Amino acid sequence: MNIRCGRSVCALIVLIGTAGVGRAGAGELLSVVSDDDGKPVADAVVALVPTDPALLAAAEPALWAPWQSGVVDQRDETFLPSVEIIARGGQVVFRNNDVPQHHVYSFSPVKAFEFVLKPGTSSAPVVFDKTGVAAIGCNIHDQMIAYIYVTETPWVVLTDKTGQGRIAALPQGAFTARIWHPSLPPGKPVPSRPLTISQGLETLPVTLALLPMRHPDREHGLY
Amino acid sequence: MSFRRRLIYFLFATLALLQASTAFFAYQFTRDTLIDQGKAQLTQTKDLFVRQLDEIGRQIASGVEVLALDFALRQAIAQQDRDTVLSALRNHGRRVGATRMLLVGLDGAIDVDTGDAGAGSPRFAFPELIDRAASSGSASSIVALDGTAYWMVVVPVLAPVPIAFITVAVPVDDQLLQKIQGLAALPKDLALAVDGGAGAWVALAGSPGAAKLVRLLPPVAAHLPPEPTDMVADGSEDIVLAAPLATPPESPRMAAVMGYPLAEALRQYQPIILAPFGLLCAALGFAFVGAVVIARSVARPVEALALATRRIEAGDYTPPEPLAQTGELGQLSAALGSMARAISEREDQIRHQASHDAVTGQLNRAALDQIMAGRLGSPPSALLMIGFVRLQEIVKTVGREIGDRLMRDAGKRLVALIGDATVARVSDSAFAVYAVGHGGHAAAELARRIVAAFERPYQEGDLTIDAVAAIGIALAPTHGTEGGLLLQRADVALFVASRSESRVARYDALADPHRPEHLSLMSDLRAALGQSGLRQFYQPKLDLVSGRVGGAEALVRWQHPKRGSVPPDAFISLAEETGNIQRLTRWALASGIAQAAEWRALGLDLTISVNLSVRDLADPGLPARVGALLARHAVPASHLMLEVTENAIMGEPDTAIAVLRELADQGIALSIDDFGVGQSSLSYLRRLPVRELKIDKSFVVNLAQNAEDRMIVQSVITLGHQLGYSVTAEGVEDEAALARLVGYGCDHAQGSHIGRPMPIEAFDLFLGEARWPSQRLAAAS
Repeated sequence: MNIRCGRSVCALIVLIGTAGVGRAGAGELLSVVSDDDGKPVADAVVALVPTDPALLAAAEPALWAPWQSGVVDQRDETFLPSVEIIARGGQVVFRNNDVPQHHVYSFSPVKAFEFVLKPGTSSAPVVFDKTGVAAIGCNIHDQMIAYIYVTETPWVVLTDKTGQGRIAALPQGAFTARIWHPSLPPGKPVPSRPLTISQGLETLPVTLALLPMRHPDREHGLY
Repeated sequence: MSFRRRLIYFLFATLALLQASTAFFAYQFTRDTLIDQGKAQLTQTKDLFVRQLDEIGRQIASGVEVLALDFALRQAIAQQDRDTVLSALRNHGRRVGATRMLLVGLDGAIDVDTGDAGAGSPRFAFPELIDRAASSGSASSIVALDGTAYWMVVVPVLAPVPIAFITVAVPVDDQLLQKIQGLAALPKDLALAVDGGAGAWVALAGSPGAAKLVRLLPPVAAHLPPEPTDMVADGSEDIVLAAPLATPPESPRMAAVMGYPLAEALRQYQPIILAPFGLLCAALGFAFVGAVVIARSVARPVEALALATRRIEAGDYTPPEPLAQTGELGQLSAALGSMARAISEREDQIRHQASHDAVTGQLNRAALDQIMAGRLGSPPSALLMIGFVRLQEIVKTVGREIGDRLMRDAGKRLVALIGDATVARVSDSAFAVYAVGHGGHAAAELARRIVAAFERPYQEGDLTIDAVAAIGIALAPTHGTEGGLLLQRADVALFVASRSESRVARYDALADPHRPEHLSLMSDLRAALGQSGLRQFYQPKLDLVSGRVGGAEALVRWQHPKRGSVPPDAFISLAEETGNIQRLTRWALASGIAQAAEWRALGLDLTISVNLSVRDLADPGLPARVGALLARHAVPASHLMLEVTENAIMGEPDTAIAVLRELADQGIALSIDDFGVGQSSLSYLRRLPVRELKIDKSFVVNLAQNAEDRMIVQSVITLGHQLGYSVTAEGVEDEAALARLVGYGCDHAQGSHIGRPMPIEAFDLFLGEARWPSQRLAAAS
């Protein structure tokens, strides 16, 4: 996928009200992320942070369950998936399913580590206890990059190939939608949108100005 | 200008012109070729230069990219270990030749700086490069910063996402440009120029000549010419090409400048261009030596010839030394020699001709004058003039050639006789002999010997010529001390001698008719003609048949106021010589005819006889004048008789005969005077209208005593009568002669016995008392 730099941001947010989840009923949000050219953007993280911290504290443990652990595979000199969402305190195992060794490292303040994985081996679980994004690389293969998104909220989603992500079981209330993508210009604040969740489904259209991909298409392993 | 100098100048000018034009064309051709070559080279290498600069950038960038991937460095950056990062950057900076390396954060702030800490801005100066590096992986560009050109390379540090940027500044300095030039075989003059801010380009780096090239560029505001341009500055010529360089907007504009130094390129060809000058110098040297040698080989002989010519001009005809040369000058020298000889010979010949007579080979008159120049007479000397009286006659008879040979023979005879005296031919018919030391006797003796020598006639084949010589002698100092005068006097003496028996005469001052007083006599005669100083005498002419006086002969007499009576022979011949005879005749005719008219008026029947001179017969106007006079005085033509001598008629026969005929046609009687002593032929006389013969008195004077004379007179009278002439006898001095004449039947007689010539008064008396009365006119008697 080749995404070019965007010029402007406009938002179309659709809130879908959902019924019966949580104390105050439940809503649902469909995020639709595209780039400046209107092409759908995959692997974008949309995280909804409630304005009221009580809502976060009141979130049911079941909501956190999908984000407690994750596996980042290595195949064809590629990290799979390239973006992995993990709850704070969650664990990620790096597994070498590839032919060569990989020297997995992170210098990110979120979590710094490094280890060498021989083919067919997995790492010890790496606990991410700070929120933020950790960029994971391979010191042997420069083009291998993966991002561990350590989320502070359970209401988070990764967009699919169509650029869509759906977050359900949302309590009604005010939120900030934070949108992140690897190709956002570095050193710039992460785009965010305030929104209010009520009953039913809402849609959040997001247009991102992305940098051109520095690395060629990983899926085809071309350099 | 001398020949030598002209030759040298000519050779110099020719060679200089030739070589200068060769050099000029060689220079022009080389220069044009080099300009084309330079332009082509610059055009070809322009892109190469820019590419080389880019290549430098790429090399630096790739080095930095490798650095940026260094795990330890990335770790140190990620962990914000500044000291480690700084040392790593310094270390790496040395490898790539950077003077300054920075670590710039994603926000553009400088985190680490290998330059002076604290110096410079806290933010990176070229954020555009950061942006490009962020999107393209790395960015590099040439920039100008603080008066230096740099390659600025920006490489992101990926961990694995960009966490910072490493920037490297590699100065593009003179050495680097030199390296590029060497690597890519670029033109020698390379420079980087920057917009100096004042509108003009400023050199940042480059070869020694680069700053000059940059100054040649047009102002920054103008476009840089895309083609190579020929530019002249500071006395040198360069072909310049400038290409703008891509720079980030934060950097001032920059340009790559390449130059092709034409002067330097030409310098390689200097030997070729200068070669003609070297050749010229050598050729001039050769030409100078050659010209001097040639000119000397010409000038020396010419000077010698000029000297010889001046010598010849001065009269020295020694032929000049022949020149060794065989060319034109040799010919000229030989010609000059033969010319000198020819002039010498000709001069001798002319000198000989000038002083010698061409016919006889003896000295001429001029030579004699020279010999007799100065005062003569000491010692006494004699000048003999030897004349050949008959020479004119001889020439007319046998021709001039024989006459010349005769004179040549005469000269030889004289030379044989005279010893050491001098002989010269002084006129056509005369020689002069000048004998120094000869007195009167010696001269006379010499003259006699000469006369004797010429008694032997000149013989040529069967022709014998008796060239009778007469000699006149003049003596110095007796007759003169001066050559010219002596010649004149000898000439006079010769004239006398030629009429004398002895044929030798000494000059006699008394007999000389050519003395100066003679000349005054002529003018006196002219005066006498004008003033009636002349008188007419009349001699009676007796008619022997009737015994009466039938006529008179008019005879002119001159009573000179100082000299008394001048003899007729003297003044008549004088008048003939001086051309006054016609006036004299006219006067005689006028007075004679007037007298005849008077006589007629008195009833006397007298015929008047007037003498004509030989010159009168040459005057065609005479008959008309005579007719007019007769008519004026009413005298019948039958009463006028004109007397001419035989010789007068023989002298100029045709004119004389014509005049005589005209006179006769008017009825005037003509008489032959002095008949018998001249050389007339009777057959010739027959053709003339003559009426009377007058027998010369020499036959009549002694008529009574001389039987021979009597025979002659008698014969003439008989002959005359038989031819139809009347005959008059002159010189009748006695009665016996008169009686005999009467006896012979002579018609008229004239003489002292009858009556002398007398003035008109005496004549009138003579007629009144005489024994012989005058005839009277029929009307009166």
